[in-house]
Amino acid sequence: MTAAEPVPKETQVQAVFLLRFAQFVTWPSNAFAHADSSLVIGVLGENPFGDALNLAVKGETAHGRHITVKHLRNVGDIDGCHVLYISPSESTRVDKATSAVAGKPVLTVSPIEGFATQHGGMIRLILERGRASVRINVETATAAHLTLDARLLRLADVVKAP
Amino acid sequence: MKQILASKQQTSIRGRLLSIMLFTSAVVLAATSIAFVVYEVANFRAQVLQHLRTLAAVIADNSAVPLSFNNQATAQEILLALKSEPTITAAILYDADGKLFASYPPGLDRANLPRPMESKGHRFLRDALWVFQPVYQEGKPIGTLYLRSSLAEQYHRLSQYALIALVILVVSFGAAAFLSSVLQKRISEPVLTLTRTALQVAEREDYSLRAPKVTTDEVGVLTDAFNRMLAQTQEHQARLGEQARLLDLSFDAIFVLDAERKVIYWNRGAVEMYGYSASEALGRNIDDLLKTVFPDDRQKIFAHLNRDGRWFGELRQNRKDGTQLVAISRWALDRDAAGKPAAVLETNNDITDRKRTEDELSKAQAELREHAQNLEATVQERTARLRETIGELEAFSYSISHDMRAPLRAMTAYAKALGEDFGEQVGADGKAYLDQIISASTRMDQLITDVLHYSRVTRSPKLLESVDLQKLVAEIVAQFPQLQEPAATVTIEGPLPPVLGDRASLGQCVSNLLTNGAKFVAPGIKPVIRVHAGKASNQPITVENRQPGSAGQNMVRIWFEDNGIGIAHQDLTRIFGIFERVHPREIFEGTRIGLAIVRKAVERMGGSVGVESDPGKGSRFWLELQVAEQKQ
Repeated sequence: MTAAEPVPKETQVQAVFLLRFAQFVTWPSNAFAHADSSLVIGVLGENPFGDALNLAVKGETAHGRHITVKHLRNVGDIDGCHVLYISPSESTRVDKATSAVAGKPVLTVSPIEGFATQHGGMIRLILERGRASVRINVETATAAHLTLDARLLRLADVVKAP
Repeated sequence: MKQILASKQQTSIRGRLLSIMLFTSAVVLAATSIAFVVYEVANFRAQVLQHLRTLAAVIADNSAVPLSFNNQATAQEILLALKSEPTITAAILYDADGKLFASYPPGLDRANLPRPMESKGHRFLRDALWVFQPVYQEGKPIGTLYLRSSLAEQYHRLSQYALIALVILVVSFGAAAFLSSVLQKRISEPVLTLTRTALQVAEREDYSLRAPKVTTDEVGVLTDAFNRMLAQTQEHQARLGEQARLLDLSFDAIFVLDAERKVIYWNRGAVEMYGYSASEALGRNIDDLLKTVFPDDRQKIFAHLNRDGRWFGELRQNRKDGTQLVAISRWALDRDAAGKPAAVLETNNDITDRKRTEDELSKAQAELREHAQNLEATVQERTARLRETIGELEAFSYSISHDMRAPLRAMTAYAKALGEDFGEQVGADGKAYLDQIISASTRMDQLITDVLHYSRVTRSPKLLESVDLQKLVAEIVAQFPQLQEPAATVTIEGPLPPVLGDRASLGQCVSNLLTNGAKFVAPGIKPVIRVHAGKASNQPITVENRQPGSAGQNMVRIWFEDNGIGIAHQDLTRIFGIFERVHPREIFEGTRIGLAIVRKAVERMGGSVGVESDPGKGSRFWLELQVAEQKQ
């Protein structure tokens, strides 16, 4: 995939959503090495955004921190990430990824089906008929010492693991 | 207009206090109400704005997520929650691109909506308030919220406030008016009490009144001061009254004039003198009142008064009944502190009667002087006529006497011839008758001679020369045998000084005195006569007829002392008159003219004659004559 190739509308929306999640979720302070450390969004697996994510976070901040995007090949590379986007390409290894960050203050986001209910993820992105919606597993997020903005919950479907 | 002003000025302190308090209350209440309303309006606007902003902030905050996640349905839901705020009439949410994202109420007219703005702000319209609230995400605007609030309800509330304020205003003003009218008495009553007393004092001029003291504030102090002043005035008045009473005792008219000569004091003396009572005279111009006529030009008199501070003179003035009087008027000028004439004290004395008496007296004196002059003229005239008559009489008697001597001599001669030639024929008796005729005619001749002497003495011109008296007496003694021894003894004692006189007259005098001395002696006694000079005496002894001119001149007294029968005291003055005799003719011969001749002659020579005598002890005649200057 080249930079010149146009990115679909849904992908752009997902990139903006990633940024907004970083802005509406509060991390514990020990999640950052320094007071001015960047907030790191890690993309695990095949990059579906092309250049869209970089464009979306460019010039933006979350909780006053600059935002950087990292592309990860393996689960072992996820250290230092605050938001972990698990690409649909990793649908077979998703449990491995979520368990790797379980209990750590890392917000996990993925469009993979059943991510928030069966795979131990926190936020699942749904793109249906051109309209984006979100499912959030509050318990998982709370267990990871993350605080979700109440307003976020208002437009999301709150789900639980079975 | 003037009356309105006057009545405004005369408004009582009560009214003024009331109006001040009411005006103050009204101003305070109005200011308070206006401040209240203004504050309410401002407060209300601020409240509305604050409320709306808070609301806008909350909604904007809530709208951040729907905008962030592009969720119009949720945004619409959020706006719909504004139902609970009935004053919000519209809400609009724009996204970051300025497109309408959500709106309230449903079915809002999309026309005439405000344009999206970048910053916070608000805009008050006539009946609404717009608030613009940007929606931020991480410090970046992601949209704008507009809220519109209706102000109608707030205005309604405000008008209710205004109504309440008005009611409070009216009620407060009423309360203030009531309180003022009650409370002003605390101030005005003492003042009014004081004023009433002051008016009573002024009307009745009764300085014994005192103002009751009601308070202890300044009015109380004023009352005390006023009472003290009244006491002083009363005392002063009493003293003045006493002075006025004393001035009233004066018979003089005493009055005081101000600078315009108007009467400001008028005593009882003035009332009695002019007939005007004090109330009639006070305030009147004195010169008009009394129609004063000044003795000199008025300007001069006043200039004199101004210069010297006093003036006096006679004034002619009219009484009230129109009669005129003359007054001696004394003026004293009183000056004020600046030295300008302030008042004149006049003391007038009615001298009309005295003046009339003086006039009458001077008239009488003038008449008297005229009479005296007339009298003198009459006397002179009569004297001249008398002298003329006397002269005529003297001339007549002289000529008669002279002419009578010729027939008398004829009678004597023919009687003697008859006796000699026809003595035997007439017999002894006839001879005796003839002797009687001769004797009588001789005596008559002697009488005529003496009368002629007297006449000559009185008529002869007065020609005084120095006469050697010593020699004259000796010559006379030599002429008369009856003065010589043995008939009599005449001695001249000491030198007799030369005197001024007429030799013939003086000889007559001396011979008369010597022959008298030799004549009036008792029978059988030899007459002894002493002649000597003595000091002239100022003391008249019996008769003193000094001429005025002889007084003080060098005089000498010649004494002729005899041992004759003397003269009774009652006769001492008579003997020098013509034809006076004190002794019967039967005893002593004489023509009774001798001493009269002496007196007349001596007086014509500027001398005098006199006598001292006691009956039976002789007489001491004296002549006083002027001493002639001795020529060496």
